[in-house]
Amino acid sequence: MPKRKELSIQTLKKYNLNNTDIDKLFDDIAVLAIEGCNKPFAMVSFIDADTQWVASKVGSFPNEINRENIFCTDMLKQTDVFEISDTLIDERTKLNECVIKTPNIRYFAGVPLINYEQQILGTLCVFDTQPSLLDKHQKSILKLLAKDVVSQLALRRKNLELSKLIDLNQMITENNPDLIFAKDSDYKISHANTAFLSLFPKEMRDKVIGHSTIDIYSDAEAVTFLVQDKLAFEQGKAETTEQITFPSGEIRTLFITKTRFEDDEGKAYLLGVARDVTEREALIEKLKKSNSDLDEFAYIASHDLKAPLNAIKRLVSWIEEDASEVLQGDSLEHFGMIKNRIDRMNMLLKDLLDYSRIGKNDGLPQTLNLQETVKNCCKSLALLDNFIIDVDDTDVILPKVPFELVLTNLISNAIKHHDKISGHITIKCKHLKHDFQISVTDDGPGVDPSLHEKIFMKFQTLKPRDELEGSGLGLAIVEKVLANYSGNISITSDIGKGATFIVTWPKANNK
Amino acid sequence: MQQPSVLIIDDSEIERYILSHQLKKIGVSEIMQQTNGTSGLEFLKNYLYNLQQYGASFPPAIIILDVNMPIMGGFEFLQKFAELKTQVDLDICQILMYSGSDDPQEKARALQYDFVKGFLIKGESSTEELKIEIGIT
Repeated sequence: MPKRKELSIQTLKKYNLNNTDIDKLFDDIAVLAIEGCNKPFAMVSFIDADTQWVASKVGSFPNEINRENIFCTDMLKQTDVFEISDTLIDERTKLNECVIKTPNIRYFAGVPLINYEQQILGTLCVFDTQPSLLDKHQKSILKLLAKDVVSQLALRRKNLELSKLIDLNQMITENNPDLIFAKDSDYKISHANTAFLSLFPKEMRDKVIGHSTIDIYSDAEAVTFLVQDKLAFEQGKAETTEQITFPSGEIRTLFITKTRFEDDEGKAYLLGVARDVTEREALIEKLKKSNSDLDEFAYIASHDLKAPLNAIKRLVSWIEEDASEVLQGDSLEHFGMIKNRIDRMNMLLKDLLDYSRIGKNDGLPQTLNLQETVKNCCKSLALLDNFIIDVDDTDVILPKVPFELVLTNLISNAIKHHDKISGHITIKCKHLKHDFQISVTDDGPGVDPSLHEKIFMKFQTLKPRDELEGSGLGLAIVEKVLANYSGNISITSDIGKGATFIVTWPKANNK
Repeated sequence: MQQPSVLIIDDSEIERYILSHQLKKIGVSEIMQQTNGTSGLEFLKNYLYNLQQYGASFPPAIIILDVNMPIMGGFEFLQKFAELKTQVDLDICQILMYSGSDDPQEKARALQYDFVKGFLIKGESSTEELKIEIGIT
């Protein structure tokens, strides 16, 4: 049983007992206790950390005993009915003021008021000026009444909690920048938060609740609203992103969710929550545009740079041919350097083109044999005969162009970065439930784990350009293609142990 | 053996120069040049005049056609050429696409026309390749 100390003002506050209306709150119960136990006085009192006070007392009770009721204190040690049949005989009470002086209490019985958390909140007691005893029936009446007091208190507490919750809810709704409203089945606004109301000019605000606001919008907008409302009433929920002209004339983009609910009488309503997404939508639009502009630019730039470069290459090689007899030493070397740089720039432009082209005209997924696909990829690579490529004989269903782009880059990397003149590449495919998992494993020098993140960055190469030809775009291309299809790529590798690149490519939804 | 006559349609002067140079190397002597689809089409429409001008070399046996050109690009030219073929006798003409792009879809689109016999990629086609495509043995 809890000690008295555990009870605090905080505990009693939960029951909203500090209120003045409490004085008469349990009068009915006190009357019932008097009648049921056949005693002249009854009392409901509460105790907190320091004080005890009487909520209700009935009978010709002297005022003096209100605050200092020692009988109750004794009782706190037990949970059942506590009874002192003759206070003059009982050691604990025979010297008590109330016993030896007016009102000369000779009998006392009480039941503690114990809440669901097993805390004692107070007592329900009956008194007599004669020695007495309660019979079994009377005791159970007293206990029942005490239980009733506790139930009433619990209800009071729940009410208090509820009203706090309502206040909190109100506060949340009022301070929410989203527009929150409820409509009845006649499309009249039955509830609206501050944000919603503040859309309307001041003089109109008291004419929003209870009215249909449809007529302030343009016909086209009103029709959309009604369609959405009907849909929500029928299906329980409707969501749209719409451009709406506010009463102020401002045009905003709103994301609106309408949800049907019913009140206690079963009448249907809609709860509408509208979020202003104007800035967000505008930003998304802007981003999309600048992204496609960038792709466009990369495409045009690399495309237009390629043509003159090819012409230069051709012309240089002709000069070299025509002057082959005169060219010697440094000049010959310079020609080689020019051609080498042209090739390097060509490769960079080709990769840039591939990169900017990703996502355009990719085509639909089709059944592709992995071995055939790898064969196709190798055609475009200057493949050395001493590289053996083992490929699983299996089919995948993927868009051809981007899939070949990914494989070509991974195979090309495996060969290009190999530290020996011959090597072995293994390409496997696992058919997972939702994805194709294609792995490309080589027996090359491997990649230091600390560099695993770096290798996916654009224009990042791990060796100087003069040592290893590469645009630094290979893995960036692979990553961009995969991002387009919500796939991903990872690497497992360590120095000297080869590398495995694992591509996870989601299967297209077969609806 | 008489070498085929060739019409080059390309807006880039350097590309026309390179092509002519390559063609001359493999023995093509009759080379006509136009700078975009529209002028190329006009050239073919001017049938009788050009027949007089070029004799047996007209219409050209081979048209080497750039894809990306101002006013009228290669693909629009192909479409218009197909229409023109129903009006004037151009059965001898075979077209070789000459593109700056290696886009396989572009290639497939061009090869749909039965008069398109090849797809060359600028900068990557060697003189030898050109020789084979044109059909000089």
